[in-house]
Amino acid sequence: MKKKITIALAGNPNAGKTTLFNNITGARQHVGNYPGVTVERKEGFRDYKDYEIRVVDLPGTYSLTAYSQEEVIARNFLIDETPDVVIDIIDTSNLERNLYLSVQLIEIGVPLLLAFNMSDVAKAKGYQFDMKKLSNLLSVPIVETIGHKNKGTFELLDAVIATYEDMKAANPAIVRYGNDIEEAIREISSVLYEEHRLTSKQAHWVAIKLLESDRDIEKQFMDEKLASVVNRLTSTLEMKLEEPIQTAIASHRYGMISGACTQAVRSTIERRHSVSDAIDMVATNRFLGIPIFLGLMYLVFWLTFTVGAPLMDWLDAGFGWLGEFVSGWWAPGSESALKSLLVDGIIGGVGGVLIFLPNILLLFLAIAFLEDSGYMARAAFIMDRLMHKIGLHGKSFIPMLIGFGCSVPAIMATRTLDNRRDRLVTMMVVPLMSCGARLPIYALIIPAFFPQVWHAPMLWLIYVIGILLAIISAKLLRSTILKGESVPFLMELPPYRMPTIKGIFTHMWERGWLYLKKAGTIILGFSILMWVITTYPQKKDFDRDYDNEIATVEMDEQLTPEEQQEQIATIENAQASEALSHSVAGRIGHVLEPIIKPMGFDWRIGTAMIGAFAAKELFVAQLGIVYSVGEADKDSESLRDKLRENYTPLIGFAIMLFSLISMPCMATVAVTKREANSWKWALFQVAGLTIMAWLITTIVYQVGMLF
Amino acid sequence: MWKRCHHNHAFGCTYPLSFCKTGQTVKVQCVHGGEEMKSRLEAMGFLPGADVSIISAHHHGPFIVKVKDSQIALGRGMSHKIQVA
Repeated sequence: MKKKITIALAGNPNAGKTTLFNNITGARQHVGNYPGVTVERKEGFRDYKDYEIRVVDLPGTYSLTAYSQEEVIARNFLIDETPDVVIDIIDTSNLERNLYLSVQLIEIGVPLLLAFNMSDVAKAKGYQFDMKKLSNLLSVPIVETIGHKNKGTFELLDAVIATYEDMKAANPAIVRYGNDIEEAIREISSVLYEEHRLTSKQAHWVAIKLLESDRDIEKQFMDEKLASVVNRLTSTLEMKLEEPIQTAIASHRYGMISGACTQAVRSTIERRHSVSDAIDMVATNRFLGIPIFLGLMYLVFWLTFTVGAPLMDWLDAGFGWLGEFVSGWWAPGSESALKSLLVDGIIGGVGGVLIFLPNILLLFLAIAFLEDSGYMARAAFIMDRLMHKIGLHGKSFIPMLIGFGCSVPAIMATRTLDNRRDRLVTMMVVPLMSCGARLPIYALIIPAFFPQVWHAPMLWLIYVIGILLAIISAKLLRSTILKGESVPFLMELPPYRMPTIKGIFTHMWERGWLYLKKAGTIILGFSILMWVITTYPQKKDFDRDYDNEIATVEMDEQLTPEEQQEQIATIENAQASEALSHSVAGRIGHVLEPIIKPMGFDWRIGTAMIGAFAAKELFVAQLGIVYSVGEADKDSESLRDKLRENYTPLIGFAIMLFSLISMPCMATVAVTKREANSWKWALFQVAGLTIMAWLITTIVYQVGMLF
Repeated sequence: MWKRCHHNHAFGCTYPLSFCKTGQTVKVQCVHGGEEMKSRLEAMGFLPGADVSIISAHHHGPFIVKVKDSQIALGRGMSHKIQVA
């Protein structure tokens, strides 16, 4: 029987926590959320020697105060779930700042182990460490690791087991806060000791937290007697220290750390400017910063669309083949509801979404590269000025960029924003970033109505309209229902590093998986539903005798086989159109007609719009059914001909505009509900965007009609 | 305007970080602002006595500074709240 132990990984953001987590657990991972909040909780397992180790990845934090959600979660996990061993992962090249968290972990009194990660970078920077001495000074074991080369993982696991078996927790009182504060800690501890029956270790930590006026700890322990003691001590202390107690406490912690580092760390070379600094001189330069940023964004989109196009065609062909292969199971000409469901409903619906997978994966790959290399933090910095003007945070820019791929991972990416108001505004406007699924709509419409030279500018115009509307909406939301002071920009810029292939592919896959899950669940479900409402109720008595007409064509020996087939297809399509008009979807389209009339739309477009709610790209397939051109995709010339016959270019533009702005797809609504933790915001998003789309499209159409 | 520092400095006056120019290295005197912001800045190393070198100071946009071996980007508003000398 293996011994089961739980370990937790703590550490600063950018210290390489994720890489070490992957090194330890390999593929045995589970990603979920911490209860009640949308902070990601990663768990994994590893069998090592006689132990089954459960690894919990805590959110990256700089400290353990009660001010941010991440810090509270990390702290509560340590206190409530008492992991057997805690590994604090440290960016060795930035030792003092990283040890600030370690000192607080030692004070909490958890069995601690320090992983000095990226020790190669630190050595290259010219630092030399006396690990034994440092370990003694901090009274915790230290293991050196190089996460991206998977070095030191076994040593780390051995140390975990040694720490677990040893059960000797570090001395929590390693920081000396000076006589005055120490006296206050003792006095508060003794009250806690009597009143709350805490151990001396616990009382020591709670006393420090009370002096720091920690909200959560106050709520838990503060009673009248304690409050009077703490208040008295705080005011005397502040008089004596001439600075806030929090600052004094933080200074002593940093003092202890720099004392230890002076004894155990030597810097061999004095280098004022690292390579990272040199890159930053250019990349964040006030003149060059924005052009470089725009250039990189252009590259990202070029990669996404140019490299993605052939892959997309292959997938498209693959699904076409699959559809035909499945059709082949039935005798030609036979009518089967199951065949129709499989081929038209499921393969057509889900396949239509999956063909965008290459584009979306390429976009996520490029974003993962920019994130892992450290450039994304600079991009947020460069964009902050602009984003600030519309009342958003520089970091909001990353979700908006992902939004060009798919709104679902984009809305999940808003998690990096600390402030709820910023997060909500970003979530509300993300669907205005024209996602990959809307591209086939434009790809169908633009060539149908506009001459070749206008193709690229037209597409560009649509994207720009989306961006402008996002800016205006953000500004509007920020100055009305989501008013409030904007959160000041404060962000660490991690040093530039070469991303590892494994790292960027893992990141790409994590986001890509969300998109695939959307295809596998929501879109699959809706494809079936859409198939049902476009198929039923079935029409028994048609206005024309289609079967007879087909038979006549087949009998006609004057026609070539090609001509025969063409005529039969036309007749079958006419029949399909009549059937659709009779179906639930067709009827809804008719009911919607008066509402969508001012935008220049008829019931056919209305019916296709219903499909767009399930997934934007279904619009094209739906329109194909309505116009009974049989199999329709974005390249369908016969569908374009039909569109040209029935609509003006102005209506074509109105269709694109409405598709761009109107209600986001089902998957987006669902993820917004989950991330905002309320139906209210999800419904607000649907209603707000749809009303905006109706107003703008109506104005554009009506004004356009005047010319 | 910013509030005065809690304690009187022995050596002349202090000024906000936002007044600094690229290339300068200064020492933090004190940090103003709400508890939350202050605690975050302190955890990142902005404590009295800490050396801060200014990597890039844009006119209106955010600042990049180096504190305790890490590069931090901070908005204009925040750089007003850090008093240095």
